[in-house]
Parts: sequence; C-alpha cells; structure tokens
Amino acid sequence: MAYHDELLQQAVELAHKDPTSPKQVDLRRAVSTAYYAVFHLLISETISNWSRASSRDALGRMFDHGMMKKVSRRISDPKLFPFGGEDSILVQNLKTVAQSFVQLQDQRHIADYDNATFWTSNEAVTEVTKAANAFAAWKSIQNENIAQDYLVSLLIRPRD
Amino acid sequence: MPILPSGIVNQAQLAEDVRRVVAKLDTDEVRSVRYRIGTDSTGEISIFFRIILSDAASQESRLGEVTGRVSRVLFDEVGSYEKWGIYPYFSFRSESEQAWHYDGAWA
Repeated sequence: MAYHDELLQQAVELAHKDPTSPKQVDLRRAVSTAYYAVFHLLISETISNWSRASSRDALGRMFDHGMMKKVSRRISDPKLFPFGGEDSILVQNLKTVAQSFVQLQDQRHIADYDNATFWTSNEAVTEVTKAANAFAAWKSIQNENIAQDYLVSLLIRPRD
Repeated sequence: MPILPSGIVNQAQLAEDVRRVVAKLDTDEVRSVRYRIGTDSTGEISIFFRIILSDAASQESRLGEVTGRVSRVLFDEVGSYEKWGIYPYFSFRSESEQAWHYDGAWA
C-alpha cells in the first residue's frame, strides 16, 4: 500500500477510534493526517512522471505547502483558469481535488496548532471524508491533461 | 465598509448574497449557516462558514455527499472568491453536537 493510502487509512481509523467518547488528540490527528494523505498523494503522482526513479525522492522534497495552496486556490478562479472546451465533469473533479487541498491545509493548521478549537466527531469525519473524496476525484482524472498540468503547476510559483 | 483585496465590498451586499443562497438550501439538511471574515493560515482574507446540519443529514453514510454539495453551492453561488478574491472555508457540525458542546460562534 502506498504511503498516501496508508495515511488516509490511518486518518479514517483515528476519526472513528472512540465513537462514543472521542478524544481531541485523535480527532486532531485525524484531520492533520487527512491533509498529509492528500499532500503525499499529489507529490507521489507528480514524481512518478520523473523517468529516473532514483531521483524521485529528491524531487518530492521540492514541494512547498504554501505554494501548493496558492496554486490550488487559483484553479477555482475562472478568470485565470476558464477551462474552455474541457469536459465539465473533469473540471469539477479537478476543482474538488484542488479545493479539498486548500480546505484541508487550513484545517490541518488549526488541528495542529490551535489548542482553543474544540473538534467534534462530525467535523473530523467531514475532513477525512473530504480527503477520501479528493482521492476518488483524482483517480477519475489522473491521466487527463488538465490533471497533469495541475501537478506541474504545483512546482511552479505563479506570477501574480 | 471594509476594503478587501479585489475591491470595496459592502458587507451588507455579502450578507444579502449569503442569505439568498442559504434560502435555497434544504432546511431538512441545513439548520443554520453562520460566517465570519478573517484570515486563513497563510494570511489571506477569507470567509469562514460554520454550518449546522440536521442529525439525519450528519449520518456518516450521507455526510460526504451533503457537505460536498452544500460547500459547492455556497462556493459557486455566493461567489466570494470569483467576485472579491475571498476564499471560502467550510466547517460542519450536527445539531446534537452543537447542543452537546455549545459554541456561540456557530449559533
């Protein structure tokens, strides 16, 4: 099982660890892990395109959380990405992946650092489900040009 | 009237846009929608929606579909990102969770 798949599985298990009396530590780790599952999915998919296998791990270290979020936000801006002539279902699936990444990164920040925020079980399960939906959406578009262009863009600082 | 990144936004207009979209949502699923304007983890001005769902809509078998659909409607139809560059974030609780752990920010 790939690392990102194991992370998603771990997030599911943490979110459901104690349904009757969930602990904050489990719910917060579930949200954080759900984000990292999507983060590593996107990295894995990008570096798998690099033909020389021995260089892939080094390439994977080039990804920057902030830049990935910035790029992912822009996917939803129709002025920057009108996606004219593209299949609307493919575009919606790409937006699901990109928007989930943005949402999950922000929730991960809260889960990891904000001790004042109380997490309910539903909130945590929602975030884990968001990650699972992003995995499913990605699987349906991973070989499409718009998806591969998105992966490349994650490594390129956008011009404002 | 706060000055936001992509122009001047009348908060009353934003409130009206949100109210108009929320009115379209199924009240059997969505009990309340609150929002606040703030900054996200990277310092970008954002809108944070807090949405309370009915317990029926919060069943895990439905949760992914309901939260995805409600988020998409608010994202696309309020259009805060497209119009003003304000990215929306969404959090969901169930009615019973809000009753059990009351938080005024959601009420």
